[in-house]
Amino acid sequence: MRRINAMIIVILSVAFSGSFMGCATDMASLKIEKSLPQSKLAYYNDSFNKLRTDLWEKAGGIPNEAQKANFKLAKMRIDDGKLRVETETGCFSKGGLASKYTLRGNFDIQIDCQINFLEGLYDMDQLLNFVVIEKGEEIKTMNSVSFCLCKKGGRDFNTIFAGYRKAGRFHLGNWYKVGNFDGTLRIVRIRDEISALFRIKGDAEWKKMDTFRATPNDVIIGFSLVNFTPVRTSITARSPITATFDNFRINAAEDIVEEDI
Amino acid sequence: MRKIEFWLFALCLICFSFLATKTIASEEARVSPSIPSTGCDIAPSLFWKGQFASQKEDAFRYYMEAIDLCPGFIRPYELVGNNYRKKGNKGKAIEFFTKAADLGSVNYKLYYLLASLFFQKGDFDEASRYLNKSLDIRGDYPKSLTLKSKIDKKRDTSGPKIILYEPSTKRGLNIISKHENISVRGIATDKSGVSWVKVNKLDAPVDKHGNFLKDIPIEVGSNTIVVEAADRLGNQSTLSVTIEGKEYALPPLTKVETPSKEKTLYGKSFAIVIGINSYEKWPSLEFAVNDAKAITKKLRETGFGHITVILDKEATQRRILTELFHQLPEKVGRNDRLLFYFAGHGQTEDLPKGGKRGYIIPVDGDVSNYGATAISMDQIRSLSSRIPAKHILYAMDSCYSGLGLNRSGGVSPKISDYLRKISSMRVVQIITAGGKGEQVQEKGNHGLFTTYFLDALEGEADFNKDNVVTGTELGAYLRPTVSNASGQAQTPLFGRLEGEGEFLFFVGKK
Repeated sequence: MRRINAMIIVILSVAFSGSFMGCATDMASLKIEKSLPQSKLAYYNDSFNKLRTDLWEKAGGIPNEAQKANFKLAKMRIDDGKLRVETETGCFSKGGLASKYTLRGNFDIQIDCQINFLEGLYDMDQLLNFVVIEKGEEIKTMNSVSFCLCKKGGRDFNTIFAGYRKAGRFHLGNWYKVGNFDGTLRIVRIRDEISALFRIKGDAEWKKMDTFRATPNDVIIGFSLVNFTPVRTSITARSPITATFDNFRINAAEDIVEEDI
Repeated sequence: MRKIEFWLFALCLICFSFLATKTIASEEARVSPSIPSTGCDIAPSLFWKGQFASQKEDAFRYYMEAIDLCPGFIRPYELVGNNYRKKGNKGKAIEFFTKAADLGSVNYKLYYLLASLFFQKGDFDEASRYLNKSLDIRGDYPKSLTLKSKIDKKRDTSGPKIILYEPSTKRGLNIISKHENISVRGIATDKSGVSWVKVNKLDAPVDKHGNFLKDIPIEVGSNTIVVEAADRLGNQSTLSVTIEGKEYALPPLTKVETPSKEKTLYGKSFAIVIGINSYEKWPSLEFAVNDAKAITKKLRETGFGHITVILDKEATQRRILTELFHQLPEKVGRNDRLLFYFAGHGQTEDLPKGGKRGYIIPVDGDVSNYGATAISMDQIRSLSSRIPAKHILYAMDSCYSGLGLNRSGGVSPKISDYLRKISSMRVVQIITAGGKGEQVQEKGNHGLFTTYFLDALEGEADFNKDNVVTGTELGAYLRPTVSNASGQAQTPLFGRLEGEGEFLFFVGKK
């Protein structure tokens, strides 16, 4: 019987946790060869000392009608040189920004973010997203790659995961357990391969989450804090959740395409 | 045994899932606040549907729905306006763009597009107003900058305004040799900026304020000086003046053979000679003191009996002003001549209402406050009203502008008893080593200007070999000689501040 108990514990551990097994990444293979000069890229870097409406739109997409019926935009403000997002209570809530421009060709982008997950909440989720979304597709079928920090309602652990959406279906990539997060998320595209990397604050090396064969087409960039996952249909959300974003950088990009307006 | 273990594990999973689901469900059942969404919460979702709509019509519909839900939501107005603009409906485009602007948009592209629409309508004032707003938000937006130059071009159809400082007279100019260069100096101004200035088809250097200076040759007879200027938009303007060049055949007149002749023309001969190498706050000079000493020696040889030499640390503002305004007026008489020689730094100040003011810098002059610590040329000029000397010559081995020189010729040398006449008439003349912005050059152990000044007093400037070098001869000799020797880096300015006479140096006698 002891043998059975031990086996159950081992299986449960594997099934529910995953171990935190990021490893140092060979960055040379992710180098962008033909980037715009830093003098041009610098305009798009944002240290969030003010809300740059020349760069960003407010994020606000709502996945389904049930959520739309009970939805409020999260509060966003510049606080101590960072963008602070705080969700509303009692409703589905989301706040964040998406780029007014698109990235063309290969690119390398990153953003600092910090989130302290709340414990013991069953009635809501806690989800921080850093995404690139293919422009020119219908919202339901658009291709995208998401890099997320997540605590689903009722779970006693948080995860970091990456995945991609193609032809309307979401494909989950690697995921690891993670504590509260204070670090940098990074997305690099070379041809149609998009890699997600992260670095905990204070660490020197980047750790690769996953690489997906996603899309070579023009993409916009977005980041947000949401208190629901796309499949959630009801919510109480008695507590707000908060995250901060800082130091968005385009490390390299072959081209940046701006709209007329 | 393995079967038992598998079923036990499956049971555990089912129990866990059930319990978790039940707990969540009961939590949601207990709290069901359902705060209704407001239009402005939902509007961004519609906006994003529009952003990802594959059909423009669908996008347009979503944006309009977003506006209906949240009339204060700026962004959809901008995109609807742009949709109309692309369809060629300028009126509706302006309507929606203006609404976005009224709501407080800070989108520089919006203001650029509004400006371009008004520009196309021919309303350049409105176009300019919106364009300035665009550039206020982002000053380096290339499209706005391009449009700005187009609007400026439409609004600015006139060429630069040209003002001539020099030659300042339309009276005749005396020409000693067959050809002589004169300086054409002035300012060209235009709100679009001055692109170029030409004097008689020759390019004239222009500084950032529009000041220009060009030496051109003039000849005996009628000389037309044509100054052309163009602004950055290509608008041109022209100013022309005609100057009569009068032949200045040097007078075949009385030679000054003896000192007694000199004495009959002048009472006493005074000179103030100042040379400063070691400045307290300005950069040191190398040969100014040497120049002053050489000039002193030469003046003694040519009959100056009352020379005050002020060198280096003695040459303070106070000392120089005391010498000029208190001591000299007590000593100098009506029949005397006075030479003021200065070798040191000069400075030209651009005056707020236009024009310039020259300064000589004393040893204690302050770099940042020369207006208060230096001696202005206005002060120097006012000396002539305090000193009764009939002839005063200022010789400045420094570079200035803003002297207000008059190049009128004075008395014709062809008249009989020329020397007696010019020596009896009052005159204040001035010659400087160069104009504003020019650098004095050196030769040997002297400044270039002083080198040739000394040569002039050796008799080189005595064109007619009458043993007299007049102020005009001195200027006629030094201007081309120094200019050529310096490779046009410095061209002496010469003119008279008042009077029709001539300062005379008696040369050729040892």
